[in-house]
Amino acid sequence: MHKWGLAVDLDRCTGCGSCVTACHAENNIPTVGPEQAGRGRAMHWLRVERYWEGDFPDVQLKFRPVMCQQCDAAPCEPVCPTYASHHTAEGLNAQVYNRCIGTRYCANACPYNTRYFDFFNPSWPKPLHLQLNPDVSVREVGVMEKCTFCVQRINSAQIEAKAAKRELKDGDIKTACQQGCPAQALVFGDLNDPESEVSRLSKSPRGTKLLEDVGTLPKVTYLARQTQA
Amino acid sequence: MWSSWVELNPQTAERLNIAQGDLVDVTSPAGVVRAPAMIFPGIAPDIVAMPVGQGHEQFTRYASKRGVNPIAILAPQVVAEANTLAWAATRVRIARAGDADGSLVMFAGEMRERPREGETR
Repeated sequence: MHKWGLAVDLDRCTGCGSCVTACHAENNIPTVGPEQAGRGRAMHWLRVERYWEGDFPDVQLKFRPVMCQQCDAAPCEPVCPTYASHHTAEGLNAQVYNRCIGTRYCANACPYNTRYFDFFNPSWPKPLHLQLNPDVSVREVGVMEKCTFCVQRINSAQIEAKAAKRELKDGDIKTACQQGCPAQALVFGDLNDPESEVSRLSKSPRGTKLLEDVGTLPKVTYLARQTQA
Repeated sequence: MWSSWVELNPQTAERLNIAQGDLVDVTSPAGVVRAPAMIFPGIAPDIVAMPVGQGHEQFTRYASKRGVNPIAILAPQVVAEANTLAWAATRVRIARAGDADGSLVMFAGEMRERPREGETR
């Protein structure tokens, strides 16, 4: 049984936003325009948080890409009255759009603000509708959506490996954000495979979880920045 | 982020009584443009910066009539040695022109956070 996880090396992240763009393209994430975005209705399954430290000229800017942390003890799951938000056997926090009735309890429960509600039916002006990803469903108004760890890529890699009668190997699955990252700050893989790159990184002494004290047991590990003494 | 903005050092903004998102008039000898202020700790206190590339009069339905064009107020100065436009040599006056009107829309850091003090959302 696999257990999917992600490691984010904050030392490598330059805050360029390629991961956000890649995620939008891969997952058919609609845009809502400036007015609605100003009301907090923009949907980025992955966002780059920005932290300033110090005053000019001794000022530092630090970035942190934040996506669904795919918690093992996910606060979003027990609150869902329709089991739209549930835990898969491989440890993903899955969202079943067809079950979702839009109570938004899960978004209230999520301590990471990584669940996004469709306030509108999505639309793509021609010819942008031609770039929709056929492997990902387009969500309609009134449902909650979130980072899936690119579950469509996970499933297709597993199907391909099975058809070729071989085991899935580390690196077969790349999430869209990982593929888009020019600094290779993001590493996706199987946490149950002790030899995988993500396992190795997740056990690093630099590794931390986001809001670890909340006890959500995230499967995303952030590797702390290293400073030169 | 959409549209244009004016990057201001936090100390400069405080001195001029300008808060994040407040509308600011940037006046140079060549003209004036109005854009929301963005408090930006990475800029020197005596410098203001604006992004170039917005404020098109005509450039398709998506790009036209968005933001302002700071090139319109650049002073016609040249770098003598290179005989090129001196992009960052224009002296400007910064003045608060009005309260935040929601035209500064940011994703990084602020998204879906608690509203700032005195702000209702």
